[in-house]
Amino acid sequence: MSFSTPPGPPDENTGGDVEDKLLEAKIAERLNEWYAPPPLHERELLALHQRYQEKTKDGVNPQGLAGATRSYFGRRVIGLALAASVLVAYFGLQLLPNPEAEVVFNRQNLAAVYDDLVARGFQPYYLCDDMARFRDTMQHRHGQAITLSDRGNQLMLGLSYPGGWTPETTAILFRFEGRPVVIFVDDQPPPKDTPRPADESEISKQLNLRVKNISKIYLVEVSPLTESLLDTILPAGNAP
Amino acid sequence: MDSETFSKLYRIAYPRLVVIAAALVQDRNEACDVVQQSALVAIEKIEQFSASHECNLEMEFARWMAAIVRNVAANVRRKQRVRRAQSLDENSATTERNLRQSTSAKHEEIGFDQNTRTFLGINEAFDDQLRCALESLSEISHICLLLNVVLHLTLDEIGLLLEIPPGTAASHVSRAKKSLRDRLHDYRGPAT
Repeated sequence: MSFSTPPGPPDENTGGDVEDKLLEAKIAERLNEWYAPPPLHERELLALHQRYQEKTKDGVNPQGLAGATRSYFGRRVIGLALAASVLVAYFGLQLLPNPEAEVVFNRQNLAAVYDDLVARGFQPYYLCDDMARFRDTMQHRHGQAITLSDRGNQLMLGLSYPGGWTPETTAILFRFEGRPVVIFVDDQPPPKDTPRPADESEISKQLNLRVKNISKIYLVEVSPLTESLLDTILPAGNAP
Repeated sequence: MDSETFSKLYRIAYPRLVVIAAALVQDRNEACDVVQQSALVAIEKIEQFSASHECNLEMEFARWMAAIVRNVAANVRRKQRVRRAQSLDENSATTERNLRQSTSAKHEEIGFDQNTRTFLGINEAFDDQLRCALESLSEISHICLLLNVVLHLTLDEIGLLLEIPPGTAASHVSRAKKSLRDRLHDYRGPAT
């Protein structure tokens, strides 16, 4: 990349001189090396997303917040609270992929997770409307790229990370014929006793659970519908 | 604005914000921290964000976030300066002496004239000079330069993002480039 490649008016001293051009190219190379932004980490985005939702859920009064931020003490308190929440979110999430975290991770009933997602408005943590990014995310998280075939009456809303049979389980949220459907994905096989509706939940009594295996990954669909969406999930490259 | 929209806009604005922060704190990792800190500030102040429809929502959001990033980065820089000043106060005599010896040794090792270009260490010298040259730029010039060179933003986009006229952005970019060329004049040519 040349130093003067980007659009804009020509610099007065850039024309004609080969040595200058070479110098500019070297400067541009160094600037890119030093300053090119790294990709945004999904976990950082997730932590912010959760913080945003917490803030919205808290129903913070904008006037009150503004008043609090006016004072020096108020700003310090908010700053410390924010820093603490970032640290907790960061270190909490750092623990997830650590195998040692399995000791404290409680395997979850998938129907209960489904109920919880529905109760919270069935909003994904991560809006994923780019199929290439979806494929890459699955490859990155579970070592198997997958893609979705379009049946016409299903809408993929995005991804959530509510846990499942391991802390790394990913939930794909769909609207299918207007009903919420979750497909849990993991590269570890689900325990035989895990996919079972929670008895205490009225919603869960009507749920169907189906399991499918694609190459290295395992899928568990939790759906109130008799028709399954599992067939729409294909290994990347096999989509029609 | 709902959280999905916020996440989407933040994702789009992120590279620009990191570059702005990096220009100010001179360190990419610290810049990422600054941007993250700024995002938390933005969440707390989200009620204050309003799109004025002068440009698209993505640019409006990036512009609003850029202002927050510059404020947060300015605070970080102030703290950096205080830390440096304290450190110098504590060890000023020793530090100065060591620095002088080290600089002198480095100059002897790598040289600065035309004949020493093939010596091992010329890249390090070039990097040092480039860093010095960047530090000599004004903050706004540094930001404009990086947005233009690293992210290939147009001067119109830089102007919108930093709330300055495009002509002013052009001037900053042009002067910054000239300043770097002048400061690194000894390194012209293919030998590295």
